[in-house]
Amino acid sequence: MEQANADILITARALTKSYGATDVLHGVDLDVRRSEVLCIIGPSGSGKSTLLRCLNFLETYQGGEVRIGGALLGYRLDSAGNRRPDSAANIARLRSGIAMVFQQFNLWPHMSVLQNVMQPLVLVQRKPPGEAEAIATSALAKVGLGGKLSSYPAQLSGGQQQRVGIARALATDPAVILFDEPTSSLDPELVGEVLTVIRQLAAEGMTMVVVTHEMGFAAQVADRVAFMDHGRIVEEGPPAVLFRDPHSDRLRQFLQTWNERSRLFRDEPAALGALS
Amino acid sequence: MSLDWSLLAEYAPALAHGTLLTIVLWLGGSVLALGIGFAMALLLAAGPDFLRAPIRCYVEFFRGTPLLVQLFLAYAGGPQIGITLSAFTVGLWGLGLYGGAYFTEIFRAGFAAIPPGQLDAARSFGFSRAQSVRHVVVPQIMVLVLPPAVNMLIVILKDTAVLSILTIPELTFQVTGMTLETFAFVEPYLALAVLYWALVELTALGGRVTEARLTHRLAWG
Repeated sequence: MEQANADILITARALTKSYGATDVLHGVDLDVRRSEVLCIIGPSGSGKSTLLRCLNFLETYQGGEVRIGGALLGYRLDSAGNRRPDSAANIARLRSGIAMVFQQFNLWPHMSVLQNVMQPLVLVQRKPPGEAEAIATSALAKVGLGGKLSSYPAQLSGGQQQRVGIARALATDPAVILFDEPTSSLDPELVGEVLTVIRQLAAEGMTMVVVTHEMGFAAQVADRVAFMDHGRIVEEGPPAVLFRDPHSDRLRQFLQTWNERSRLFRDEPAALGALS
Repeated sequence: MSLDWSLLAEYAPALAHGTLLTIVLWLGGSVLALGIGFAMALLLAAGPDFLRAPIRCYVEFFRGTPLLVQLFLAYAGGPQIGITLSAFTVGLWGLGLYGGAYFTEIFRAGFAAIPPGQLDAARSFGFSRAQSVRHVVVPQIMVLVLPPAVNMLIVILKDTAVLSILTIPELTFQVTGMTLETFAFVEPYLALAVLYWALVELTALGGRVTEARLTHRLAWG
């Protein structure tokens, strides 16, 4: 077996995935290192979210491999060396150190905020309810929702719901948190509060993989940015290099479109003023 | 025309016995139907693909043919192919399989109403499949499936009358026997109708009370 580097928490090698005849991932290589913030950017449909969901086997992959702490995720090799689907218990065990935050929050609507955060601790980590409640309460306080313990998700704003989602991930004491476009379904004025919480976690050294359309956030917070297009990682590197000096035409084009759009939005008030 | 209600008093033990058996068949059949329906819907939603076609066939057959024909097939046709079952067994399982086909559809609709993202979240946090069903799916579909489920329980209750054809001495069988002995038809059948109706109303009431409680307990937003 490959020697596991203690500082590499998740590795993906030559990862391929297709839905029927549609190829979504074409051989992706990626390492997630301890305490880094890795942002994955790229156009819609480039395979960013699919890649993220393969990292905890919410999506099955067909070719290549994902390893968590050196152990193959999702499959086991039988005596003849063929790949077989692994047992649900093994998958759950490998996944247990990886928490996820979803674009649509995916809170459980019939549970209070506190119960949402406690549930994985009680059901999966088998913590006594008292201890689980203490951990959940402090995780919620950390994301600024200490006063909403008994509220239900539908009573909260999108930004608050997403912060509950982050607290739910945080409470499990994960080695890595995967964020799947955490701000994409939020009203623009609620994006900031969620990014602030993620930024705070980054400052504390939490390992995070963030699929995002927020270029400004990626530029400021990421240690490393990977740009995906058509199921491949086209380019990766520190944001200062990647954003300032893109090597590939595709990334240059992507950044240019994004810059033009943000300039348009920035200039809009002036343009409107000129009209009146 | 005069009606003689004293007949009913005379036959009270037989009627009581019949009522009891009707309730036993109803509850037994309903438990089977609920269990079968829940299991089938679960397998359709999350089971292996190769089970899909057989389950669909089961639902279509038992929903597509009259209960009476199914009972005849099993009870009269069974011995011809070497399966001899008692009338009670055929009646109980007949109700269970017949009702189970409908409950499969009721629960399937309930499962389909849960956004898949909620189950992704459960899975990503390491919930087992059983934990997802128990803690995420079931509490949310209860309110949703309760009205159609109560409806189906009422249908099963009334369909126990069909089992009289198999000479199972439930309520309708007892009353029919009574009419043949006394040649009185109005009083016995009227009493029969009222008894079923009372049981149905009790069931509906139970359903309403449960629904009110669930809605209260699960009220969100």
